[in-house]
Amino acid sequence: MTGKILIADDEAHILHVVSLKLRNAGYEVITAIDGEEALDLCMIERPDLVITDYQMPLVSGLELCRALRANPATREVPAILLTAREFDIEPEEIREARISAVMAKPFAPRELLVKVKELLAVREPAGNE
Amino acid sequence: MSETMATMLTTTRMPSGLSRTFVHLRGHLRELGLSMSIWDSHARAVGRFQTCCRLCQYVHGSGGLCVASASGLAARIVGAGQAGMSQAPCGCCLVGVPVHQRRRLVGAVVACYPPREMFQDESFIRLCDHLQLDRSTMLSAVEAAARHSAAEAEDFLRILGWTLGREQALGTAQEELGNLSANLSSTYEELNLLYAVSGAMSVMRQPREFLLQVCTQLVDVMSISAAVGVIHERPSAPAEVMVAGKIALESAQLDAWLARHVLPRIADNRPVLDNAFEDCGEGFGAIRGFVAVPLTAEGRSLGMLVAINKRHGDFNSVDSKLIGSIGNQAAVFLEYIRLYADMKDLLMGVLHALTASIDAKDTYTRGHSQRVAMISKRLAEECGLSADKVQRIYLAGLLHDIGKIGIPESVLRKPGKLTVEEYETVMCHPATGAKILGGIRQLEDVVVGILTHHERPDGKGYPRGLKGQDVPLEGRIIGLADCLDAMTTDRTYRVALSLVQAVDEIRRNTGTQLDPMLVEKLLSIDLAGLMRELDRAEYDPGSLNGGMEDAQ
Repeated sequence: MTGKILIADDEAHILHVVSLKLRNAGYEVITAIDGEEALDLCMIERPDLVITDYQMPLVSGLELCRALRANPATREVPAILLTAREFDIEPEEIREARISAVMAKPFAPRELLVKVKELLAVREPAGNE
Repeated sequence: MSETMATMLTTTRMPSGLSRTFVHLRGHLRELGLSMSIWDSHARAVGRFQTCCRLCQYVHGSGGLCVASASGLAARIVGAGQAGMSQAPCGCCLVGVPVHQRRRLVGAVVACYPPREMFQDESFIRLCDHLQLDRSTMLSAVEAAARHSAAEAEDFLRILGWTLGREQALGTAQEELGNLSANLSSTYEELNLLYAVSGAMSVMRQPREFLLQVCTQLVDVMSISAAVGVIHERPSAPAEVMVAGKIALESAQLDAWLARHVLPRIADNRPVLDNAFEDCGEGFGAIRGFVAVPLTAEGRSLGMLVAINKRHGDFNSVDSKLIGSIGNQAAVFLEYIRLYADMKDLLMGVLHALTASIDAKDTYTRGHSQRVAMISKRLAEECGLSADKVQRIYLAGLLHDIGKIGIPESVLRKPGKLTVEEYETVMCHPATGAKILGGIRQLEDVVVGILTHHERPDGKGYPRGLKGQDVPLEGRIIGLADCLDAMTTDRTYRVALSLVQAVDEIRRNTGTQLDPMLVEKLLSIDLAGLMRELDRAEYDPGSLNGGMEDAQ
């Protein structure tokens, strides 16, 4: 597996668990402990996929995704939103921020990996064209 | 100035989450002979300013030269976001580094020490004069504290930077470990709840008892005020409500709340989560939030499970997933219990219909099978047999005469003495009964009682003439029950004996026709009471299931 994935979550154990799963699957992983750091890292590192928590200090996962869409350099990067409060997010907001998948906590790292592979596989041929 | 400074020193707070780091850092620096001050992102002092030596105490007390220098350095550091050094007018060396938290500059720490050179040049003399202190007294007091030279300041700056970095990393790691442990602990609790629920399924047959236990566990694991389990035939039917934990609502109010606010919202069979339940003046103010899941099996609504009022914070998807999973398990289990009860009812219905058809051949023996079943059950209980065994004996009692289906009614209803041939026909019924039911795997052990209920301790019984303890207990129990009922009901050949006469007759036949041990058990029972019970059962079809009620 190839691809650079950015994970943003203020809960360190989620970062550890998800990083481990993705690194073991062969991905390059970078982590951020809040939305602001994630946004900075996205601009510098240009990840192929972003996995972000919803509730984070400074910049929420939703705001992060909106900011990514607003910048031409990161407009197309697929995003997965992790959340324990999916009921707080309107489907409209998910669509507008072009979030590819929402996973409710507690999620199985295995399922997340499947989703990641799926999203990166879709993206790959598009990049080759 | 000193007063304003003193006020400032106590009003600013440390950036949260760093106090452990600062305590450790200060300890390390103290060992090296350095004092430490903490400054916030506006270069305001945090906490009390600690002086590094006796001289500094005087300086600080009299005008705050050191404080002013440290404050100036802190302002430079937070302004540039870079480490820096300076020297106080008194001669003290100051080194400082910026403090970052979550990548944000939150302040600075400044370390300070009196260098050896400080006491060797003129500035010291001038300072003492300025403060009107005796030079030699001061010198002896502070010289011991002067362990380092001014040239070492650069090394200290590096050490300060490294130590702060390490302490912060350690603090973060410890905090992460704490959170991780807390998470792991609650995950274990949730896992254990799932184990407990599946464990409860293997030992419980009562839906109410099962659901109440599930609710009790939910209260602990989810950290909620109360958990409510509801079982209903259909959503509109009256429900049974089980409550674990505490909720300040009368049971009628709780029922009303469930009916008005919960049931309609789970109608589409999905969990409902509400963290801001609004009471519209209906008296449900005790409820702040809830998660509810419907209990459904194959599209049929069986009830619901409701978690009420999270003790800390809000309900989240972790809660709704957990209660959803428990709800699914519970629903499957409740459905199985219902199906099991249905099957049991069907089986008993069929068996009763079968025996009723035998009894119908002989009007004199109407209800005989049922009565023998009940007396046998009572005797089996008296013998201390297991609930399962008691139930099998009940069934054997119920079916003991099934073989009579092969005997012509003319023989069964014959008022006078039977011919030898006729008697031989009658004697076939245990074997016929055993043959009829022999093909049913689940009734294999029941067949024993049917086959041997006319054997006798003295070996004069039939069909095989077994003797004493060779007659299986099932056969001996049903034989005695059969005998008692035959004596106490009217027959074609005589009217019913009174209970006293029957007991005499039983005593007379003990050891020959009847098993002495069982007779003793029978006579220890309140027989008059048992007879009344049998009479009642005859008119109450509901009691026909008596033998199966508590079967596990």
